[in-house]
Order: sequence, then C-alpha cells, then structure tokens
Amino acid sequence: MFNKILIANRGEIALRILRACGRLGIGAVVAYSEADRESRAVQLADEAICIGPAEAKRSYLSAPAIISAAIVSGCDAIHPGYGFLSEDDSFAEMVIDHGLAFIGPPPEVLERFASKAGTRQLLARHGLPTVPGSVGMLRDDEHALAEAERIGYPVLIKPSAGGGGRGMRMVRSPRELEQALTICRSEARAAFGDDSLYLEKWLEENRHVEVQVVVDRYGHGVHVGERDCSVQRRHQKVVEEAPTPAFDAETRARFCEDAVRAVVAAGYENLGTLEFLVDGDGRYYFIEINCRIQVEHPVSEMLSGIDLVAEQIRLAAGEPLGYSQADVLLRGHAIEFRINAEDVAHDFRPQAGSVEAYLPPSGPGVRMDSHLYAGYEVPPYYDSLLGKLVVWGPDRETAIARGRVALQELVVDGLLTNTSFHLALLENQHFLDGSFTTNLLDRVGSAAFVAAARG
Amino acid sequence: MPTRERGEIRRLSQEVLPALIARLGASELAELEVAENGWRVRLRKPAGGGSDLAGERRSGLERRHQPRPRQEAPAGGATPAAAAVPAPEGATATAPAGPSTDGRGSSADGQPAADPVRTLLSAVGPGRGEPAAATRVVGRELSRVPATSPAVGYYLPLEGMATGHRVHAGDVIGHIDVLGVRQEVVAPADGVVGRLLAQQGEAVEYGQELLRIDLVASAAAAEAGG
Repeated sequence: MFNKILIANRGEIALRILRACGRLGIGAVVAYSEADRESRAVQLADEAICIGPAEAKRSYLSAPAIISAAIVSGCDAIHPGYGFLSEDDSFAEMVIDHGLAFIGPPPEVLERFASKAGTRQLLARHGLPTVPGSVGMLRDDEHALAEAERIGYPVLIKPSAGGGGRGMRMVRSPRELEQALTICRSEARAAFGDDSLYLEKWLEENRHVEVQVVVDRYGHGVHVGERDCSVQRRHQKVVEEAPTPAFDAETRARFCEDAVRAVVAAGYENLGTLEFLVDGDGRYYFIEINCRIQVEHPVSEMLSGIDLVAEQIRLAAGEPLGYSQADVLLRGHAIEFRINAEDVAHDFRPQAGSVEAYLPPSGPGVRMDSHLYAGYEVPPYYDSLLGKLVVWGPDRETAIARGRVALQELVVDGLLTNTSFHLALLENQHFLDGSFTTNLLDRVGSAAFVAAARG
Repeated sequence: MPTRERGEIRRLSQEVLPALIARLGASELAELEVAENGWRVRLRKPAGGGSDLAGERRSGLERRHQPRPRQEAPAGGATPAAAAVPAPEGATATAPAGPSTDGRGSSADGQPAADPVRTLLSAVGPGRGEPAAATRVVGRELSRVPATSPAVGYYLPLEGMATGHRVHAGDVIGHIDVLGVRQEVVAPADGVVGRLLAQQGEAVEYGQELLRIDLVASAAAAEAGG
C-alpha cells in the first residue's frame, strides 16, 4: 500500500480523496493553485503544496508541476481526481517514469481506451451493442456528409477526446451538419487540444445509463450497478440516480453483467464507468468509457456501501479485488443532485463570489459532499460545482421525498445556486413517474423549471 | 472556516488593526509586526516608489511540513485578515528601529495572553514598547522585495548569492530544479541581497519567497548611515 498520496485536484473531489486516504491510514498532500489557497482540502490536509497560479494550464493541468510536487513532498502515488489530467495516458506514463504510482488505470490501458471510436469497436468485438456511427474519425466535411447520409439523420457530432458535452452538436440536415462541424472542431480543439470528430446516430428519445465497474489487475471485476444520468442540460449531467427506472430487475442484471464481462475481457483495469444510451424500447448501446472516478460515484456508494475511492487506491496499489459479484449487494434507491453556482434565471450563468453562510442538510439517508464553508470564496477560474447532495431511501418515492426535504434545508448564502431548479424538477410529472429522457430539459425548457421554482 | 477563526478575524479587523494603524502612523517605525498566539499582523508604510505592500506569503513547504495544531485558532491556516493594510496617508519612511529579527515561523508559539488586545496595545507604543511575553514588535527597514519561486521543486541558488551581493532586475540569481529541468529564479529589482529565506537544495513550492532584495536606494542610505 502507498505511504503518501498527492491529491492533484480541487473542490469537493480533493476533499473526497482526502477522506479516503484518512480511512486507509495513508498520508496525503493536497496540491493546490494560488486560487485555492483557502480551500477546505488545503485547510484539512496535513500538508499542502502550491503548484502554480490560478490558470489550470500552469497548475492542475501541469504534469511537471504536479509530479515535482509529489517528489519534493515525499509522495509515492498521485490521485488525479476527475477532469484535468485524470484520463491522460501520457501523464500517467510520466508519473510512472518518475517512480510514482498513478491512481487509475495503467497508461497502456488508458491509451487503449483513449479513443472513443476505438473503444466502441473494441467493446463491440467483446459483445456490447453500439450505436450506429461513422467508421473511424471524420477526415473532412465531405467524409462527414457521406457518413451522415449512410447512418441517417439526425446525427450527433462528437469529439474523440474529452467529455462534458463540449464540441457536441445534434444536427438534422446536411446544411446544419456543415455549419456545426466548424464550431465543434474549434470547441474540441479549445477544450481538449484535439479536434477529431465522429458521428453517431441520434436516438430521439434516449436515456443515459452507465455501469460502474471495479476491476483488479488480475482480471477479476465486479459491477456496482448502474446509474441513470438522463437528467441533463446541454449534455451536462445535473441529476443522477440508481437504479434506473428504465429497466426491470432482469434487464438490469443482464445489462450490468454484460458490461463488466466485456470490459474485463477487453483488458480494463481499476475503476471505470461504461456509458450507454437506452432507447424507448429498452435496447442499450455502448457509447464510451470513463477511465476515472466520476462526479456521481456516491450514488453507487449509497446503494452498495462500497467506498469507491478507497477501492480505486487499493487496486492501484496492486491489491486483489478480494470479493465477487455475489458480495456486492445493492439496496434501495439513491439520487444525486449536483449543486452548482449558477444563476438559473439567467441561462444558468456560472457564479463566483463569497459564501456568506453554508448550512448542509442532514438526516437519515442524506449525504452532502461539498467543499463549502461560510467565508469561502468560490473562485471564478474553475467549474461551478459546489457540491453534491445525495439522498437514499428504500425506494424511489422515499428518496425523492428525502431529496425534497434536504434541498429545502440546504442554505448557501452569498451566491446563486441551482437548488430551485432541483426543487422544481421534483415536481415534474415526467421525473416523478420515471418516464423522463435526456430531452426532458430541452423539451420542457429550463424556463419552465425556473417559473415552477418561483411559483 | 471555523466560527472561532471568523470571530478572531472580526476582532482583528475591528479592534486590533485600527489601533495598530494609528500607533504606527504616530511612530517612527517603518514597519510593524505583531504576532500572537497563532496569528500575525504586519503593517508597512508605503515606500517612495511603489514598495512591497503585499502581505507576506506563508513559506509554504517549510511551514506546511510542520505539524499543525488542529484546534488552535488560525495557527498554520490562513494568515488572518489584512497583512497588507496600507499605512496611513502621510506616513513617511524612517530609519529602522528595533532588532531586525524575522517573525517567520514564530507565530504559533506564543502563550495565550489574558487580554490579547490590551497586551498588544501596551506593547505597541509610539516609541519602543517592551514586547510582552506573548507578543513581538519588530521594526523593519522599508523597501525590499522578495524573489519568489517560479515553480515547485528544489532550490539551487547561484554560487555567491549571499547577503550583500549586488543584483540587477532580471538577473538570474538561481534555479528551481523541476524534474531535472532548471527554471530560472530572477531578481525582481535592483538591489542588494538581504535575508536568505531558503537553503540550497531545499524543496520549495510555487510562489515561495527565496530571498529578499534590499532596494538600491535604501541600501545606499543604510550604508551611508553606517
């Protein structure tokens, strides 16, 4: 096991990793940018080390700064969290070249699963159904038009690298496609430094359901159930829950087992999430894998009681999984609400500023993962995630009821949050009856939620 | 931040600071530093031409690596409140007074005082107050700027970079070894190397102060003054 881990991330996930280190009895050093000097993780850590200025490129995205920080502070492993360098195979390789461990899949595994198009082909060979899409990357506009014609409109343009909805567009005609290609290329280049795109058939009414897998380096893997992430705004997840209302128990079991079997056979290692689209008839199509801990991992922790971050660290240290699928018991229903610093009434504009008061909700089945404290300044340089409110209940109705109470309890004064949006969502009939799809917000319109929240 | 720290900061900003500013303004001191029980306040009068008014950074690694008292108020945490409060208008720089020792690292070792505010204010007279057990008052020369680390790594000062060495703005005065690649540490101003704050081979973090440079004018004045 490791002696001391450098946490190369910020916000709530830095805190989450710090907690896992504490639980495992491993020392931790928090690497921070100048903008995060007063962050909760820095305050709580035994050691903290400033790695650069606010600009992420020179701090959280700087491989030399992070690795140097790990070396000078005597760490033997680096946890990259999510985002930033978490899925960068050349970073992982550099970490290992400097005699440190990378907490995540080994670089060769990251490399094998780095291309979304390549991963779809690989997992299709291992039996997972995939969405009809372009063969390989789009060479140019002409190639894109021909492939779109073959697949059939509407199609979704997707960047090969990255995630989070950037560089993605749904188009319904050749004309829209031509216009969108330029935008998607520049967005993808700006966000990921890679402008290669591919096409996927757009499923009109789909749900986004993913499977959490935990795999050791000896070829043993389990799934920790699925998560339904269909409540999205502009391809950004807002609410996640498990189990998905889309499947009956039998389909669920088959779906999760297929996913973990395929990914183990394809040589995956460590924590991972396989994302699928599910159509109106309950057919599922694999779309991509996330080779990192995810924002929404607490949903699966609430159902299973497994500390996924601790598992991730343990497996990266070479320990065997030590249990089988039959040992993973999934109980009840959990829902996660992402609490973002956003002005719901003004197109969810991100907010920065001082947190005047912070009162997290509590009670049975309520978990709040957040780095906030009264007096904390939310810096304007990074994403707007302030925390994650996760509620659990023996069934979906109880979880929803607890969610409503917890959201009403939550106080974040000093800046605007999307709490009102969540409360409105919990009044929406499509959400309540479980029939919602990824179109819910786009179709109903966020404005309706805002109005409902005000009313 | 714990409520206790917030309360302490409020007390500092509302009670202690205004009093300190008034006393500094009336005194001959150019710089005033008060450390007590885990926090530290430093006031400096503005120099002639845009001096270093920035609050002192924590010496990251050096300090962070020390065990931190968890329940003590802001010890080791945020250097509270306004370490960078400008001195009153019209205050002029004068000769240094008092011992030119450094308050670094000594902020957490004070004993609790019965009434910190009163103790402080009695210690910070317009002349040379006797420091009470729990407080320290340090007069300082003005007009010095720190050279800071451009990266996380090991500090390698150039040979001969000792106190008294003359440097020009832009001179390379050392390097930071970042994974075997050297990044230059550059003198921020013309002057004379003053206090050295990091040792050869020491692990330093981004922005950490490595040494201080006494600006040329004040250094010359100091020389002239003996």
